[in-house]
Amino acid sequence: MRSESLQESISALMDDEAEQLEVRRVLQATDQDPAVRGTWERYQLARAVMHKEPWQAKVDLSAGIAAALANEPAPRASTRLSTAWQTLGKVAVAASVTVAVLVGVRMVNQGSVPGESAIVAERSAPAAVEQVQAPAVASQPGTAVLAGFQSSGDAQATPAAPAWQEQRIGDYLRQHAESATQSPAPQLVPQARAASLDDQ
Amino acid sequence: MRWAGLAGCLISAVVSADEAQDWLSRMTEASRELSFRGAFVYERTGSFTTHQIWRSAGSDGVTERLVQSDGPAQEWLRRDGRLVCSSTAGTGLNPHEASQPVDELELLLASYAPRVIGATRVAARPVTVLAVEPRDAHRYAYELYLDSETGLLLKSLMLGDRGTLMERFQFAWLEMGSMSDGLLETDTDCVPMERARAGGDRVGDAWQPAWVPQGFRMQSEASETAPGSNTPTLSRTYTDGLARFSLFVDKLDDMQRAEDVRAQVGPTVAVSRKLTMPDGAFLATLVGEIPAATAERILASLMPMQTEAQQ
Repeated sequence: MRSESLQESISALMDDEAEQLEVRRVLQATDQDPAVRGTWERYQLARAVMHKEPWQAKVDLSAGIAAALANEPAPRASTRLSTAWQTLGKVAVAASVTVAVLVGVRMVNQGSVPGESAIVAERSAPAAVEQVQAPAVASQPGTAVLAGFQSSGDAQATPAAPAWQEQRIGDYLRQHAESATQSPAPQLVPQARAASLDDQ
Repeated sequence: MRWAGLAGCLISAVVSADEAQDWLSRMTEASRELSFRGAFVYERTGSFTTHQIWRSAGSDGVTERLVQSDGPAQEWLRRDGRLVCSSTAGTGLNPHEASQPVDELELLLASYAPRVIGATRVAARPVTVLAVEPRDAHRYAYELYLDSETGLLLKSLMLGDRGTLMERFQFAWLEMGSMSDGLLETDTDCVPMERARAGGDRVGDAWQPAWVPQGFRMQSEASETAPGSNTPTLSRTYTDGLARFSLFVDKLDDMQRAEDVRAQVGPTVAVSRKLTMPDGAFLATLVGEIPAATAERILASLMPMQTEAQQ
């Protein structure tokens, strides 16, 4: 149960899908093992980079969350609860974790730089980030990967597309997005899509 | 009693579908006729941006100024959806106008089942929520949140299989009504766009896909030589009334290396395939908001036809 399941728990915590037991387990492990703490910090950094937000390593919320959990009655895995109660329990834990995050950061932010709260917004808004998975397709042998784009194919051992082709595909993405905006009743979604391509 | 209940359910389902259809036509009407200003967010994998929009609709058409409010200052000015100028040069060219107008609502109803699923609030305004479910696996599902008063689209979610969120568009603030012309003037260096040449070269039936998913119709086609290239690029755009994809075919020079490529940019897939024909190598690229497997299948069905047309 050590390392691999702990990794899974950290990932569940990042996705706001962790159960109370998992939250406790990760917090306990980060306390004891610097390597686990390192993993947690790398995950947070990856998320901040994904959203182009400045990453402040010193904003560490785990103490606040641990304190909030310490006040919760410990979960008893053996007792049989009705489904309704189990659901209610989950909601209560989720709510208390959110509050702990908010309180923790407000304290950190006192007298320091504004902008650190960028990370808070994220923690307190579960479901704001959703992992997008490309529909499952049999991976094509010899499928190259575009450096500038997220690829759904296997990245290993495939030749990179030449620069002219990458640029051409970028142009086609823009042209495709732009042609969608042309209408006597223009819609904003394709415009936003086109704008996001220039944000790469 | 039980049958009466069942009949009631059936009737309400029909009413909800009819109601959804009315909302969809109100949505198109609203984006043609309404003037407003507002702020919205756009989110997809790897990108989260915030924007401000000023839109003025009148008898002379729709003018829109779009500004990105985070990151580098970027601005776009559009008239009737066509780029007039942009602070990022982009491709520098306007794509062609739809040469074959299609009735988008009629197409949409053939490929999707829209229904009203409830009401909530977006940008501090009451909205009506429409679930637009695809009738097959070749397109994604949508949730559309329409302003209950005007029908304007205030929030849109695109959902992949198993309900994964592919894309979010959402107003945070909105004010209806006309505005002074000054607000529609650009602040940054807005590089004017060239207008696409009318018509372009003749396309004929070269490189037609033998298979496209049911419900997709061709909207435009063109054959044009891009600056810096000596062979024309053939392009075709298809729509099912909601989703769209574009096909591009380039002839490769003998010296040009190309690879088979698949990339996913949020809701948009881009697939490039090298095709070797007796008269040389070609690169076919499909870009669109459709599942990758569907895109691959369309590309695999491409038929040259060119040689026959020339003989």
